[in-house]
Amino acid sequence: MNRPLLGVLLGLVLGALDGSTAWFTAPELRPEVLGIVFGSCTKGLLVGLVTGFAVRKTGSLLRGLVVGTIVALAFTIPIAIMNANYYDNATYYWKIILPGAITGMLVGYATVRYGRRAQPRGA
Amino acid sequence: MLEAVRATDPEIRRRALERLAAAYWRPVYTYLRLHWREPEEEARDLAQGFFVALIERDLAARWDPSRARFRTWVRTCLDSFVADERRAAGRRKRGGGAVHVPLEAEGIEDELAGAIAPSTEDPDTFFRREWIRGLFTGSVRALRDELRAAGRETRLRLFERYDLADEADRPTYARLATEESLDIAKVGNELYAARARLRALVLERLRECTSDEAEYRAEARELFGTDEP
Amino acid sequence: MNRLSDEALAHLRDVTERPELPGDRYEIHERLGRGGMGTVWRATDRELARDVAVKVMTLPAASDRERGRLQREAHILARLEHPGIVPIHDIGQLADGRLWYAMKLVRGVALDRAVESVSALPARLRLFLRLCETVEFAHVQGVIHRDLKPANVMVGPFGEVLVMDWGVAKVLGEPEEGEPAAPPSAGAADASGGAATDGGAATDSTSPGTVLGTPGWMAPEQAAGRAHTVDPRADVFGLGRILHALVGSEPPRRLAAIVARAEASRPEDRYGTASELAADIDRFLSGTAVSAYREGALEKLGRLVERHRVAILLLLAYVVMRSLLFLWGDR
Repeated sequence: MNRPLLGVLLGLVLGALDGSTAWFTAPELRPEVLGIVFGSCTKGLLVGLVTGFAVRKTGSLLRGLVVGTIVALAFTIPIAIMNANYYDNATYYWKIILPGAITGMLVGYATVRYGRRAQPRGA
Repeated sequence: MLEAVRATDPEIRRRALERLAAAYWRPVYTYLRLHWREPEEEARDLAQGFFVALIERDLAARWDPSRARFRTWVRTCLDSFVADERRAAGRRKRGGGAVHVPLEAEGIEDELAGAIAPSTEDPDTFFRREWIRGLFTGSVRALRDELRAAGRETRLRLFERYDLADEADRPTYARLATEESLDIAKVGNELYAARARLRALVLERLRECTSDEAEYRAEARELFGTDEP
Repeated sequence: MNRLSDEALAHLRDVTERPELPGDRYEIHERLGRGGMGTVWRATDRELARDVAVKVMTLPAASDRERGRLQREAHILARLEHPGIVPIHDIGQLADGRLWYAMKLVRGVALDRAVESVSALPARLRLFLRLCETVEFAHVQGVIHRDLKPANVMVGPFGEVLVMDWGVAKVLGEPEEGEPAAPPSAGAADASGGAATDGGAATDSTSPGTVLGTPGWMAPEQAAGRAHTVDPRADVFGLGRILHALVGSEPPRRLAAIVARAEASRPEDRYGTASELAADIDRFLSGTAVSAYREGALEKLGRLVERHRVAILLLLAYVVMRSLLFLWGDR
């Protein structure tokens, strides 16, 4: 499977799983869990897509890890800030940023490790 | 020649052994002088005795080509012979019997002046190198004789000055060309011709000293294909 | 006449061996090494202004058969156009009858020396995969090397792997003249003059009954004097021996099984082709199941964990982190 597509699928699945954990980690948000899952899926999809494109030619797993983390942080930090401010709860920084960073690492790593590397042009 | 050494006809065998003695005289003598540290007279005596024993006692008939090369076998026999002789109470005067061993003895002591055998060297390696030196020495002599007989004095001079010199004393082609009033290409050609002939002479002698085509080719590979002594 | 000094003797041995190639095209420099049949020299090709290697037989061919061997090696090299096989440029005969050919100069070191600086097993195996690829290419072209050993594999400065010395190679479908008539005695190689004096040179094939190949590296069926009947599995054996030397004394079990299968005594117990062997090495490197080893359930689980350990660690890190957030996230 090519890396952008694999990134999208991984992002969707991990995003859905990550979003659904809010049911347990943030019981006060249970009424909004569907929205949270949808948002998390969207975020995962975008992280997977961008990461998949960014690493489509690399052979370095470390690069996959770093790119996945940076892209995930780029998406999760603004969301964490918005949520923390909206709910006036600083714990959202950790609850959103930390899982997001680890799923980003996972997406970046798995995309390089299991996705098909794009051939250089002309090869 | 080595096949003839083991021939059943005693006369063929004797003649082959005499030729063999001529081929091996130099390394045997040098080995006795430098490795066994025998004095000149004793070394000459022992060498003569060794070849006489080879011929008269039919020692060569005991050589098994499948077990060792002839050269190695000769060296081993020589060691045993010297040890036996040293054990004997008194050394009887050897030689002078029915067998005449033609020895190219002239000048060998001058050649050996100052030469020493490395004390740590394996006897086989030492004997082998002396054997190779003997091959080349004899071949260089033959080359000299040939070139003189053919009137190729210039070629001989170039060869001696360039190829027989040690590195430090070796002149350049350009210097040789100037001194001999030749162009450099001619110097190269003359040297090439001398070397090609020397190679042929060495190989002729090598063939004489080896038992069959396989041994000849193997020896040639070691002679020319390696930097080993 | 003065005694020839060691230095003068060495010089005479060198200049009487040094080939004088016809014409002005090649200038011979230093000796690079020697193979079973001859010596290899570095030379400059003046016409094309490049350095080449020139292989010269030590002696004129003793027979048409021996002459044929060098010519066949040259023809084999000419037909095997592959990055892992040294291309040949020219062939000829010296005035004294010695045959020679010029080929690309390989600036590298033999595999056994090259791997001294490559300690990581995966890196060694990747070198080995390139070797397998070259051997498989030759097999597809109908050529069996028959003398694979580390000394005949060169590794270039950029990691390129080249298979050298095709002097005893066999072309499938082409009959060889004067095949050994009978299995040789154990001392055949020694008696034939110690072509193997360095312990590694290929034995000569000029005498009936001697063995083609190098003791210790050649397949049992080849060592038994049936060199003319061997098939690509003889090279698989040679590859197996090389792999054995590369992986050290205590390789992982699955790798040990690959080695054992490659160097099995009976050809039918080996991999059928070099590419099958390479495929198993590839599987080993990627952590998937290898065909040479039947693993138990626990071993399989262990291999899967090993293969996906980073992903599993990341997942575990995620679960731990989520658990911690769940337990203490609001404090």
